[in-house]
Amino acid sequence: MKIRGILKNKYLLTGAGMTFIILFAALLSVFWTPYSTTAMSISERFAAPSPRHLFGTDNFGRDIFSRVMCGIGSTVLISFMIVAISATAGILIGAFTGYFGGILDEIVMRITDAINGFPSILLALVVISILGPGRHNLIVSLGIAFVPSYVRIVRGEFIRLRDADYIMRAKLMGVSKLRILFVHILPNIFSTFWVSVMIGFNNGILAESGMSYLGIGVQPPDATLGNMLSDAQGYLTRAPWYAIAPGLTIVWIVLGFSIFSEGVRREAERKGQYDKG
Amino acid sequence: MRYLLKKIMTLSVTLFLVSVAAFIAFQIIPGDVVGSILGTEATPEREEELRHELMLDRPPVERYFHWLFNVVKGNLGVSYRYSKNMNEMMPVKELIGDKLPVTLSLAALSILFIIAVSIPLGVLWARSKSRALDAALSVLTQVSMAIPAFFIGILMTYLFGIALKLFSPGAYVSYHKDFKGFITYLIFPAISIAIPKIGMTARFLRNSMLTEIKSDYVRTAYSKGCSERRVMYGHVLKNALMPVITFLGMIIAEIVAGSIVIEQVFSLPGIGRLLISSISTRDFPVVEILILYITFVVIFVYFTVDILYRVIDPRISGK
Amino acid sequence: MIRVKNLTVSFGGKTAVNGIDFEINKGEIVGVVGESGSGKSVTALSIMGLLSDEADICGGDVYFEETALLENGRKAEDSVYRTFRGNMISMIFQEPMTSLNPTKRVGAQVAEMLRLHTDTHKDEIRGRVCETFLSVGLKDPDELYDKYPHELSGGMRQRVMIAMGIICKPALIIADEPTTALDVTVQNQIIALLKRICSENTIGLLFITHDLNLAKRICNRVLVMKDGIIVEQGATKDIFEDPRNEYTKRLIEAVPSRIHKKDRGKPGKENVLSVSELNVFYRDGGNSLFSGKSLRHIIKDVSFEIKRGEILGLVGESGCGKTTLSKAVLGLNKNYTGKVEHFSEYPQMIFQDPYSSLNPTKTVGWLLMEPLRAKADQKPGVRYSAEDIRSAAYDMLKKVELSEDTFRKYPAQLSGGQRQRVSIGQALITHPSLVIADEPVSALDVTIQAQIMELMLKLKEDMALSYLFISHDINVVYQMCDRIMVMKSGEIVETGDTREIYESPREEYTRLLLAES
Repeated sequence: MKIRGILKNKYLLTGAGMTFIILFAALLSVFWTPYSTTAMSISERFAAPSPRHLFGTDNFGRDIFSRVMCGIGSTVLISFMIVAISATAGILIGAFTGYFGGILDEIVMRITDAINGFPSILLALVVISILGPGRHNLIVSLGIAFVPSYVRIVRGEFIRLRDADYIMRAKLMGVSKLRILFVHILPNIFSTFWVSVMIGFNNGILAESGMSYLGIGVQPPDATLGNMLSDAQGYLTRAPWYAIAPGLTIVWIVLGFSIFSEGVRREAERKGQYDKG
Repeated sequence: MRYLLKKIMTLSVTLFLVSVAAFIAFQIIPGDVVGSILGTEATPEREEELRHELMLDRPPVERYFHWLFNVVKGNLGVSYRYSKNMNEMMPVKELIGDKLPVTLSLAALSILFIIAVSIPLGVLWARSKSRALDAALSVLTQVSMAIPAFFIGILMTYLFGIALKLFSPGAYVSYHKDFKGFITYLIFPAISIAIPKIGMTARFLRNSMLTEIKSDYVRTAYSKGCSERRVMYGHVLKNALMPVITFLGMIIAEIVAGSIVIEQVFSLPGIGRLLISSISTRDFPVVEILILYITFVVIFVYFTVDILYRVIDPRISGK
Repeated sequence: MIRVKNLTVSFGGKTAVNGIDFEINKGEIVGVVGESGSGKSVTALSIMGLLSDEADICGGDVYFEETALLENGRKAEDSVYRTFRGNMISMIFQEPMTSLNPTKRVGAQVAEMLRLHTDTHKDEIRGRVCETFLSVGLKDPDELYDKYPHELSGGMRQRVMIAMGIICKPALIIADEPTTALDVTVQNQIIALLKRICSENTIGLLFITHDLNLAKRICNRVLVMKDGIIVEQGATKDIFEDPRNEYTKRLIEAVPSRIHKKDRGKPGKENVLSVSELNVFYRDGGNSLFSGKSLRHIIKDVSFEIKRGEILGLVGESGCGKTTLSKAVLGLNKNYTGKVEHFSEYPQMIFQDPYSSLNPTKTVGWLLMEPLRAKADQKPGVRYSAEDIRSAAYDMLKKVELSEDTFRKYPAQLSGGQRQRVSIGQALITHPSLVIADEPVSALDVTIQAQIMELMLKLKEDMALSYLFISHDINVVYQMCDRIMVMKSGEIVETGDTREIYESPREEYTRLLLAES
């Protein structure tokens, strides 16, 4: 009954399928790629896509398919780490400021308001301009840049729930504050939080590729989808596939994941309806 | 009125905080920059002279206020990297001067596209009874939100620039010379920025309308004998647009950020490209001023949206 | 005038209304009474053709005089409905705040009726609307015309809705729980207004309510609905004095009334709670750095005490400070002056809404065990083994008359009444001496209401409890309480033995509150 319901959810299936392919490619690239990502071959420069080179080759004759595989790995891993940093910080800050309020909350809110108004990619640019370009600095800067968006969501939820009847009862029972925060309230914001984590993951991918495209993220010769696009733009006339392959891969990742999260949302909704009825 | 004053006060405090943060980030943390400006062959005397010139030998608080007053007066400092000639350093003001209108025009044009397309699209979507249209729009907006704007830019360059030859990539026309040509060149970059945001806004408006349609007052309107059309345009739309205004305000900040990347794609000489090149060359005075500038624009937009919202929504202005 | 024949409506396969027949004659006031889920609102909406898309009209006819609005389950053209809605049949809803468009001026919303159904000249519209405002008892109509709904009180909004309903002189008004969201005194005014307007203009009224007392007061004829079926219909007098149907009988019996009150044992002498000269403040405008800390004075000089085994009722209309008072007593609001003394362990609380007072992510068992775990954490001396806690929870399930398999269920899987039982169990599991019950039965259907009240009384005896029982429903309070306090804008205006107050209220305000029926 339950499985059948899930199978009926086209969003969940399509999204999961698309995401699975990505994760599989990323995992595989650690052990095996069709060609070495750094092997250059002058004779095979700008080869068009063919069975031999699925996505063609670039200006150094490197196999684009292999590089895209590795690029997926970097991009997904970076985005994952960004989400991990920002979501953890967001939960902690949001929970404490939202629940306790007061001066601390006021200060944190002023700061997050100022930062929130600020596009996150710009904030990341500021951080990176101090730290200097590079993979680790990129993760740190985007990790910091996305914290305020989680703080805002988590804080909002904690404010909404701190006055809920069942939390008032927990206070009356004498449940400790930490237990109220993380055992009584936290599970209730999970669905909202999960949605923003999924969105955050996609934003991480888009931001990472944007920064790497600008040349201030992951530096060559390491391949990420963003810096491949940046290289490819110079050869758009000679080798359009060079740009299209990493570009469409980004679209594929983001689309797959957002369809997947839409599916999860619908599944939760359906389950919720079932519970109520 | 009291609200307005309060708002302006918060605004100034925020700006002040940002300026302090920017100053600390770009003038205190980087430390002594004299060496990197003059290179390794400079004499100690020249270094000392420059240090004095840049006030690096003064305490930070004094430097901050000196800098702040200068910024307020319009003296934005000098670039570490660019120089006018052998002996004179390039003022940041001149560097930014004609780049700002490019970025602002680009942002304005994109917002125009977003509003013009997404609102009719959202309304159409919310009203549509056909499953096929619903599915098509759903897929279309999902896809549009998944494409990074700079990739749209690259695709446009390839499709309209290289394949169809509708414009020549890189052949930017200055607005001084040919305003029409300038705007024409901006159309494709603006569309690149707009497409993902159109998807988001149309989705947002549609959801907002669907939420409103479930409200009690809609049932009341039907019970009065209103037609579906009248209910939609006379009752639902205004209420549904309220949250969209806030949403658009938030998007504007992202558009400004988006234009930084898009300028790179289309080789537009706006402040975005300057920002990126200044970051890569660690030209901190320029970065600092640009960040302040963008913050100011973004905060100002929020402020305007907030005021606009109060004017339109009687529930808030009444209080 | 209106004939409904064999109407059947279902939602996703579940039948909501199952083949009902009735008619309404000109100028007649017909009541539809029933508990939630009985299909009364669905009936009203199907006459208007306003059912949502999920609803499936399986069959039946609705005729308005000679015109078919619904024939063999097929709805009339939209254009037919449009000429009827507002013009011939108008509707008044429960929640006047959300039923009015929040961003349109109320005058314009009423005027829309004239624009839709008459060709009143532009210049006359405002005058006509203002006249109608006056006739429904709204003062300063010209000023009111340009106001927005949020600027009006609940009673005024409902009057605006009524003005909207009658401005086109319809033949029938359908009122779906029109006074449920309003305070008792306002409720009485609105009922009187509806009654007057209908008889003056010979307008028929279909009055849908869960409140049997209301139906008794206003209706000529009553239909009793249960599970989508009309179980009994007839003249109001016959139904209430001589109900034939078993369910009707139960329903009428369940309604708390002031006719008979069981005598109970006298409460003890010792205090469990004493409050003296309590003043409670409420902090306005959050805690922004910029907005000054303005404190609103909510509770003014309140003193009272509760004896062991006593049920003290606290009566008053919404916004009078009942909840603020209870929060201060419980220590959840610290902005107060005066003295609150607890003579035993801290009191627990039962809330009105059984949906929001149970943590939706926990099982019933977890919820029942949590108070004991918290107690064990708080007091170093107290030690419970996991087994003790578990068996205490099962004991409590039995006490609140829930089956053992409820232990593993989530609140979402329970009915409103079951949830309120869990809620009571959670409050009582630590054996407090005092429980503050804030409108504990107001969100429940009458039959469930009666069961919960009985349970609360039984547990009071078994566990030697005292209650501070907060309610707006004076009949419920009469049934439950030994002593009552009447509260008005933060002050206690009258206090005394329940019977005495009900028989000879001293204050004008108390008289107004009790004036119902």
